[in-house]
Amino acid sequence: MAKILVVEDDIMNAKLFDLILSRKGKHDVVVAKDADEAVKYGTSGEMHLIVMDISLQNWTYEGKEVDGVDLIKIIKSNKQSAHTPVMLVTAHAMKDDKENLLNASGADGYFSKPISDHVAFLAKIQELLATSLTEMKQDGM
Amino acid sequence: MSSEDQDKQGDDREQDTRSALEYTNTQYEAVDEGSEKDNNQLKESVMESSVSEIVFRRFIDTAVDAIILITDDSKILLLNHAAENIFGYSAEELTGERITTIMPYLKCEGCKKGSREGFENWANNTLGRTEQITALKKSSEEFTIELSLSDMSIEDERTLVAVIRDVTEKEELKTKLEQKTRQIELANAELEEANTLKSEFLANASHELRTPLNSMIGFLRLVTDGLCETKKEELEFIGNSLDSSEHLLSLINDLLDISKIEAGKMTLDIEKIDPNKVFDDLYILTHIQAQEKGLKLEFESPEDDSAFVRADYNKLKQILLNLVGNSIKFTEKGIVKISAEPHPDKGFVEFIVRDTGIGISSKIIGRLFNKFVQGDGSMTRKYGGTGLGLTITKSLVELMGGFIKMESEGPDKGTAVIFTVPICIASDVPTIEEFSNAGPIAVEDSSKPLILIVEDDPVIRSIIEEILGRQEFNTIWAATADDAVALARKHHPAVITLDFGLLAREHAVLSTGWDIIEVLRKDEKTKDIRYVIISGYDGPIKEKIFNDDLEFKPELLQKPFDGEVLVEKVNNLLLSNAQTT
Repeated sequence: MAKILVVEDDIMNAKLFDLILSRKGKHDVVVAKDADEAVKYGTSGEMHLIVMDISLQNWTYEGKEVDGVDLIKIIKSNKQSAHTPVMLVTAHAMKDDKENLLNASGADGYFSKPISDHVAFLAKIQELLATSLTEMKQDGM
Repeated sequence: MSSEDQDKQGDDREQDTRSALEYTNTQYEAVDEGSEKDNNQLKESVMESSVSEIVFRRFIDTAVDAIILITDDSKILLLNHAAENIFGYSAEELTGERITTIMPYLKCEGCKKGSREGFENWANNTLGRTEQITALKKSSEEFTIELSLSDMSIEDERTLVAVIRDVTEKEELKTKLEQKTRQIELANAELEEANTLKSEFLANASHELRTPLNSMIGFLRLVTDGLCETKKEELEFIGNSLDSSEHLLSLINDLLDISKIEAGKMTLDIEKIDPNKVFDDLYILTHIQAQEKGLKLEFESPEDDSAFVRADYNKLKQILLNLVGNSIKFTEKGIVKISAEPHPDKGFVEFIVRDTGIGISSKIIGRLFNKFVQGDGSMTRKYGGTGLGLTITKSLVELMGGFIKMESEGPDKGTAVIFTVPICIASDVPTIEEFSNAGPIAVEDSSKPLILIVEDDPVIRSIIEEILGRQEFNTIWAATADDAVALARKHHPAVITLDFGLLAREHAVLSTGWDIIEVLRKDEKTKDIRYVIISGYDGPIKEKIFNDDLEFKPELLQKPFDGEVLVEKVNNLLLSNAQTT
């Protein structure tokens, strides 16, 4: 069972991701309720994958306002979590958003809201998890 | 005066040249005059040279450019017709005068003193180049010329040939072109900014719509996929989906409201309103919500007509409903108090919605009227909302001619939102005859540009007066189209700021802002007046301006407007006016 961190500011959507990933995907899910928790769990090295929202209205970390891109940078720059795959799930779905956000954040995958096909979403998660778990095995974890 | 100077010089050889040149300066047709000279040799010489003189004279007089011969002591020896025309002197008047008479700004100190050496120095530096300098006409008018200098000798005397071209028009065209280019660049930048804002709004709106749509679809899919563990959970998920769809609906309504306001399509139905009546409606709509949270609702307003306002009833109710809704949402215990206080001296009634709720930190209070901005993150999660309510509220207040501000002493200290609505004093109840007015009749300081403010709303008028008064403009005002035209004819303002929809007296000849433009543009004396049209809904005006063949396109300003933008537009018009007159 893979451990997945969900970072999402909208309370309904956070609950929904928890349910899809745990009930349908049979994963072990942790939901971060603020930026501090997102960094704490995200950099712990215990997560197999992170589902990250981009717009986090008025979330602050160390006194500064942060969004999903900032949090991914913090997580990716930490040695313990540098290889933890991050999947963007965002309502920023205008032209060029996917490419721009992947480039800016260094995330590994992108999925736009609304997610109408949960099976496709879980398949994409599984794909990223496969690389993550292989790397972990190689690292002897 | 020139012939006197010349007579003093006795030398025959020189006399010969001089007199020959004199013909050319006066009337070269009357060649016979030369034959009256005593000296026969001279006579022959003159006769002989006269034929080529005529050719020479015709030749230089056909030149479009002015040609002036200058002696080495900087005096004018000869000039052609074009030079006479350009400088406005006759040849007699200028011959023998110093060149500095018509070119006082020559960088030639020697010329002014008549020093040969100084002149030579200047000439040597200037030869072969074309210089642009300011010259002087007989009428004392200054103008720009291009001066090219070349060297020749007449009988061993160094003489300079100055070819001069009037480039005033060229320069003016250049300046005009530069100004036009700048205006186009400005307009372009404005368009680009508007385009960016539009794209940002679209991106934000798309984001905001997708978010609730995700949970709406998502929870329903959990149900259809059979992932609910109990019947109760199934109902819960359906409930979550319903909540999200309701949120989506309020978002769509808010977005439509905002688009309508921003497109200038929000129309107002202004009437006389008793705040107590709005408060009664408000109580009916909010008291249950307040009761559920154990909050006390208090209303306070004068019982007489002293706090009557001029506003759109439904919009005023929408503003208050939004503010009271916010207060109830963000207050856990205590009171939400709604009051109306008349300030007849300032021309408005102040509405205050004050609560004993969670308050707001000073850091975000200024941003709350911006689109899609809400309080801190925990507020969003706990209280929901679209982040558009206050933006709409602010726009509606401004559309009706008021302003809005929010005050809080900080977290847990409660919040107060204060907004103003134009007062409806007994005498200004729309029995329009008494309402129309204009002033002041006398204009104090005529050195400042005069702006006529045509606006029937006393509050908006005083706001415009204040903004323009601060900018060193003289202002006069009129409330009806008839008064505006009379005042414009009397004082001839440089610019008129024009409210498009005006109240009109019964049987008034003119009723709208457009009527004013129509009348004034046909009058020779007032046709150069420029206009800033200020309007709440500018759709039809844009069309009118676009379709009408106006010599000067008016500037458009949409209510609610920014004071700085108004000043900028007035300044633009003053600038373009200065260019064409």
